[in-house]
Amino acid sequence: MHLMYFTEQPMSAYDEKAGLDYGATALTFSNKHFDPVEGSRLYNNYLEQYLKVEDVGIDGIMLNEHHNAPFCMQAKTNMFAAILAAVTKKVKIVILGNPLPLAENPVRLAEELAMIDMISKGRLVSGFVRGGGQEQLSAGVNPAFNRERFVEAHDLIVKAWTQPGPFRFEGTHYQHRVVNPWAVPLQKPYPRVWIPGVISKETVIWSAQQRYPYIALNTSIEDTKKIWALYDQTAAECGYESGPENRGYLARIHVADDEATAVKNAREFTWMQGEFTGLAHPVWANPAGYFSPSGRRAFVEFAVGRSQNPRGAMTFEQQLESGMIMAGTPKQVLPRIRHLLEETRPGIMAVWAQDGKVSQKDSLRCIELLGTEVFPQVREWAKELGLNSPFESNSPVHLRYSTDLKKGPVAAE
Amino acid sequence: MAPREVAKLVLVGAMGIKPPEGDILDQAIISYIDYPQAFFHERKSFEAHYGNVTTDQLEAWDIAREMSFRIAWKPYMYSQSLPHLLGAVKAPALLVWGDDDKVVPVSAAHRFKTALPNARLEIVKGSGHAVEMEKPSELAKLVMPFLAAK
Repeated sequence: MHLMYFTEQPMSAYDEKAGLDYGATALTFSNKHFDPVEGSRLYNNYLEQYLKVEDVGIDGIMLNEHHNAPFCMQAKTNMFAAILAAVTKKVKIVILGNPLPLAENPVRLAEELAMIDMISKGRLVSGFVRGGGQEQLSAGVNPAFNRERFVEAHDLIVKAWTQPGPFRFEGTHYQHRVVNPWAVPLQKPYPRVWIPGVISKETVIWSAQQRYPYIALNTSIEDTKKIWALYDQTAAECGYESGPENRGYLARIHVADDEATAVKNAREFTWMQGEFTGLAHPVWANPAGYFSPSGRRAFVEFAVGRSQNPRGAMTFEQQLESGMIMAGTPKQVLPRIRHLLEETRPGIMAVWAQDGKVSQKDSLRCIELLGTEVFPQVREWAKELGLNSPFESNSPVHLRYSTDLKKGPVAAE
Repeated sequence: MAPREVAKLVLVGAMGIKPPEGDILDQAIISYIDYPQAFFHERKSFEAHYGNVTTDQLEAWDIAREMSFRIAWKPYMYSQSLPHLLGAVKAPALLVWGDDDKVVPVSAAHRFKTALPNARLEIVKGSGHAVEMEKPSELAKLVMPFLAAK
């Protein structure tokens, strides 16, 4: 089991009333409400949290990035990854992930990631994402080509990591006269790639085809099982058997010394008016062409207020009840985690431990409790249940490095 | 472009040129209904054409939106080259713009008139961007004699 810590790095000091008055807290909500004095304080708080994570023996730190919104103030995930590469010694630096379609020059990303891998002495996990819908808009990147750009940028980065330059790359969206970066990853054949996601079937299938672990981002147990069924089916079609080493799960868990404090702090998971990414116009989250065409009809109905959000909208109490948010003392949350492990069988688990305005003192205490009282038990259970991480099972970095592929039926000539 | 193939040219609220003043309305950040409503001078004109918008219509608009992004995402709905190419169009051109075009600013009409060597501009009062839907008779009165003239 690989266990890691995650925070969205909330810009919790923004003027909430201004957001409510404007009616949106994303994309066009003015950055005049961003206070850099508070920003400086918070960035350093998050760095202190990450150092605590290493101190208490947690395996990894999960990082991400978002743009134009207070729900996440990390605008470039490789910045914190580079900082952590230098100031930590043992933790895995798990980027989930770099939004590939937003990159105009994926070779630059390949260089940055190679530098992080070398500086960290081989501790990088380089996840990739498509980027949120509104990030296509904030970056000015065509949402209709999002998936094509994702795959093409991925292929270019992996080629830059694994094939000696110089070479020329003439793609549909990326053209490079000379690819020859003088920085290549320390880990061979290349750093592990994990793919986080929520609902896109296309991404689950693509991840399974690459044999990259898929990290389900706080999906319900029922939806998570559907994701694994699709992953397992695709893996079988590709000739391998998938297992816990292919499965990751991000859970929202806040622990404190007493239940009342834990529940009070866990309520902050809904600090953005109950929306993960804050208030926003639906068309920002799903610009035309970004979403799966199979979801077009359901989405347009939602976008004009004729139906509920296909992703669902639960109250805080409902989320506590269903286990989508776990809060309490370590002893109180452990049985819920055990249930999650038994039902979804992940080999990678990220804990999104706090959000919003949780104090730095409580955040650090939560990390300490996770490291010393929660995760040791989770590790024991993971051994008992056979939930091995990709590192423990030494699984191949990509399908092409597999040595265990079953031969499929041969097509007739 | 093959300008000699064009005998006469009618452009109604056309996109394609960067407006010297203002911007072409960006449909990417507004709703499926707000965008087509902006095509009309009066709300009642929109309602007369679309009434209660059906889900089929919304879906069609989303597909149209996706195609617009595919072909004209950046720069949005105009070409940097077009003003220079238009100089080769010797055919008579009629430019028609609504006086309340909230989608393509009327400054673009004046830019078209400058770029096309043989163009005339007519502004239709009380019309938005979709002149053909909001003031069809007025548009026909301009277009028919223009096309009929030798």
